[in-house]
This record gives sequence, structure tokens and C-alpha cells, in this order.
Amino acid sequence: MKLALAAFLALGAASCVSFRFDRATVNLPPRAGVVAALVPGKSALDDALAALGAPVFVWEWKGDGMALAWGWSEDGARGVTLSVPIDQGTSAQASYDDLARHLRGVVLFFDADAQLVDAREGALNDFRAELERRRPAPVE
Amino acid sequence: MRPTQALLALPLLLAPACFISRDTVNVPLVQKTITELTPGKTTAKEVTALLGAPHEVVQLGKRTAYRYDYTTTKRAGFSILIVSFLNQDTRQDRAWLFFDDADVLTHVGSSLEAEGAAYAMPWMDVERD
Repeated sequence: MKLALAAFLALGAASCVSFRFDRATVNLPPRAGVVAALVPGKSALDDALAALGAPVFVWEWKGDGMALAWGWSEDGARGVTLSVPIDQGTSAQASYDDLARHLRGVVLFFDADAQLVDAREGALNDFRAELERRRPAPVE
Repeated sequence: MRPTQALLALPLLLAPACFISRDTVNVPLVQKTITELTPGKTTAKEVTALLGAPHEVVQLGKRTAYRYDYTTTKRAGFSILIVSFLNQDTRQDRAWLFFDDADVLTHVGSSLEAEGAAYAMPWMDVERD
């Protein structure tokens, strides 16, 4: 009887309480040495795009300059989770922004002539807060 | 219950606790279409005719950049009573197209990695293509 009660409680609890071993991967980092090979004062936008592919974010920087951000993450978690399933709908843009929120990576800064002038590493969300400025642009 | 019956019942009890799922956002980018874009020649109008409306337009001084993206997330997991294992692998196809102040394409950056998303367990390596 006690065993049945224990099994019942375990099965019931499984729907909202669980011990979880999770891992979430978003994109993959570039191969070793790829970022280091991009040198401020020597490399250009074409070099960066060829080496790293398309960035995750592009921001305007100092007027005619631009900042390009590449990011990736691998998060692992172990612990106890209490969850209550709630249906959630999001827009594609919200999904893209949410995805990028936890990324770390590299931001390369280019001048008006598309020459690399600076490279910084860190959490992309911090750079977003610093650099992002949205304004409408015409699309024909 | 006999041991044989119990052994047969076990997979039936545990099977519902396994799952895989896949989420996608937008549609995959096509390498062939992107290679048709020629810096110095292709215009923004031609780009939108080929690829449709961009998912984001960023103004860069007098210039602009268009973003196209596709995201796929593959999840795999299983639970044994109250212990669960979950792995989530998200990869993207992205293309950023840069235009000058005359709306002529100047630079193209593309990464087509969405196809490399994998179903895996938390302790397994997810490899690049």
C-alpha cells in the first residue's frame, strides 16, 4: 500500500516537478584563431564576412560606421524544476531577439570605409543596449 | 505479474516519456539564390524581388543593411518518472546584405547552418557540419 502511494505521488509530481538535466546550444563558435586573425587597421568588412559568415546583429555606429555582432552559446543546467505549462505565442521578430538575448560573442566595429577599427568580446545583449537604435528605413 | 510480462510492460511505460520536436521560424535560405547576388550590380529592388521582404532593415548612416534569417531548433529528451533529460540545438541560416546610398549591393554575408541542427542528449557532442 505504501509503495502504491509512493508511486502515485511520484507519477503525479512528474507533471509539474522534475529533476532536469538540460543543455541548450545556439549556433556554434568559430574555429580557433578565426577571430584573432581579424586585425584592426588591416582587415576589412569583406574579410570578416568571409571568415565569420553573416553576423547575428548589425548596428549603426558613429554615423557612417557599423558594428557587426556574431554570437553563440552553450548552456547546461541541472536542478529541480517546478513548471506550469502555459501556451505562448510569439512573433518571428520577438523570437529572433529572444534567441540572441543570451548569446556571447564578438563585435567588430567598422568605419565608413568598411575598415575594421576595433574588436570587442562580451554578451551581445550588453552591446545591444549600447548600440541599437531603431528607425524606419525605406524599402521599395 | 511474471518477470517476462513486467519486462514487456516496461518499454510501454517508458516509451511515452521520450520525445523529439522541431521548431522553425521563417523559411530556409537557398545558397543558389544568394550566390546570384552580385556586389556592385544587384540593387535592393532586385534583392527584394528574389528574396522577398527582408526580416529587418537597419539604417547605417546613408546606407542600409537587410537581414534574412531562418532558425531551426531540434529538441530531444526523455523522462524517467521525475528525472528528465533535454537537449536543444538551435542553428540559423542568416544573410546580411549591405547597400550603399544608391541602393546598390556592396557586401554579402551569409551563413547556412540550420541544416546542421541535431537531435542529441545533453551529454552528447553536437558537431559542426
